[in-house]
Amino acid sequence: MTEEAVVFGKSAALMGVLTYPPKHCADDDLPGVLLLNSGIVHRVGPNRLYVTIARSLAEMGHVVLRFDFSGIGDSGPRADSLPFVEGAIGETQEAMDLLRATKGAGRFVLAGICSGALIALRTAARDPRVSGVISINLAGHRSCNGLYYGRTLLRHYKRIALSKSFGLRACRNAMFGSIDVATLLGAARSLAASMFTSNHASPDNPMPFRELLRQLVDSGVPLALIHSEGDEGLDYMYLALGNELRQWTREEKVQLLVIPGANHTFTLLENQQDLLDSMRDWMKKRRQGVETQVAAGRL
Amino acid sequence: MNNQNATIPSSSLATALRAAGGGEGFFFKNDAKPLFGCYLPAQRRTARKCGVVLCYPVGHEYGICHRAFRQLAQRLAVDGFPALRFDYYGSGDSAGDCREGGIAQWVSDTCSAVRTLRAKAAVDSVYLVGCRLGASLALLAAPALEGIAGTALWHPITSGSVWLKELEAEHRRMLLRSHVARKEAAPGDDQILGFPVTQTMRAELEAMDLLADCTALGQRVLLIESEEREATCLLREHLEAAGADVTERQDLSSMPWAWSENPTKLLVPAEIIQSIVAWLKGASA
Repeated sequence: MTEEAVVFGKSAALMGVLTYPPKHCADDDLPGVLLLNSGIVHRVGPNRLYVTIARSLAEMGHVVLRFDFSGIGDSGPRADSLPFVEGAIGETQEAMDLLRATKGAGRFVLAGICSGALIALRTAARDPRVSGVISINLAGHRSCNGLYYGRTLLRHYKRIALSKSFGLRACRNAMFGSIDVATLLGAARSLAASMFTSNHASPDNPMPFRELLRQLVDSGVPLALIHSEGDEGLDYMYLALGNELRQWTREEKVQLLVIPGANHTFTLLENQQDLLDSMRDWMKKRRQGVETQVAAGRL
Repeated sequence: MNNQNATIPSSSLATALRAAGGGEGFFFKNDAKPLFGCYLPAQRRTARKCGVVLCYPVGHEYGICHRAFRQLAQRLAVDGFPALRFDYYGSGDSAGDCREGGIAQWVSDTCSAVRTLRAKAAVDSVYLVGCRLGASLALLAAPALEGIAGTALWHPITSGSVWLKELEAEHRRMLLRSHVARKEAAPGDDQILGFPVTQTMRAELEAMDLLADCTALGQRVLLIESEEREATCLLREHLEAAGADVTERQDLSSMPWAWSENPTKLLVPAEIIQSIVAWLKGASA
């Protein structure tokens, strides 16, 4: 396996690292994979997870590019005043252009944690070259209006209190007075404040991700929605999509994977391994699905 | 507030920093092991004759420090210092698994980075700037290198065993507060705040004591602390006894080295960065 540092991009100097598969397992028919920044964490990802993921997927035969959006990590700033999401979508497309021009890749799987998931989904809705999305801990509630944000947090804390993984510890902490009062007060304050703010959602579209996911499912883009058990984004998914999500998973349009005992950034090593295994399994299934469709003459 | 950077007006500085960008990313090798480096050439017409190698912390502190180091490298480049940031083997973008790192490897990587900077920039001497364990590694690597003019130690780890205990306490706090649930730990499974700690790594860290390991050092040293610490006082005395010309800066903004699940709380400590740049300018004048 080899890795190469690259600088690309029209609107800003974007820095990335390309991971190539070993020669014996390289397969030009496999889609390229792009790993998109999680918040402002640079391209190595939280706990160096993106490096681990990139090398693991390269061992499966994929060319993987992890890069920094403009203004993050080692990439330069943009000269224009485009909003972050718009700029990041354009830069993801520039990354696809790079892999097409240099490696001949025509199809791509986009993956990202948190805001990286957001950019992956939005790009997939706009660019037909995206043939799969691995959305990890999408924090959809942060783009909702205040009511849904508050409901997500309430559902989250109720689920945590009752969960097998965390409930017992929560009770123990409460009994022994081992409670982080500052964190609790902060959560209560943001919950109260959220009820009276609209965040980024427009009044006629209070839950923008619900529509986005519906659009992607309708257009047949394979989706893996991976969530940590301890993450709020999972509650948003259930709240926003409920039975619709269950139906999609039954029909295998969407794969919902919950990593037990994990937090938002997969701090524990065993959770990192679970995430990696889930991604590898999904990539294999996706590949088998494509091969089946090709054999049936549908692709 | 340190005003020694006033040679560049703030508006021009912003423009110059934008022009400096993140730098040139590339891989260089240490004993056939590829290491990632990011090189920023001096932006001034008359580049200084000394360059700077920046030594990151390791583990979760690496992520906390990354943006601050990028800013520091840009400021140095604007002030005429060619600067090289690099990732140790098994860390950041460099090759290797996190389990393959260790003090001996990282000190060797630091020496390799200094040679790489010399190859890239025509400099007579090199300053090392290290943060947390990176500061300790810089101090340990310096005696093995020729032409090291000085070392800036930003919140250095004086004792590896004390640091490990602090990290383990932080890890226990994380297990208590964060929504994580441990499975049965496998034998030999050792981890701290998202990163593995091997037996070799642990043994090397427990044995690391700057007060014992750091011997003759006839160079300039900048010691940066946010508060008075006994370990820092002892280190200062030890360095002075070893022949170093030590400058100490205290009461600067602190850095949140504690683990946080929310990575959006990363800070860039402008005062510390200004202080390092000002010291380097003074020392190399």
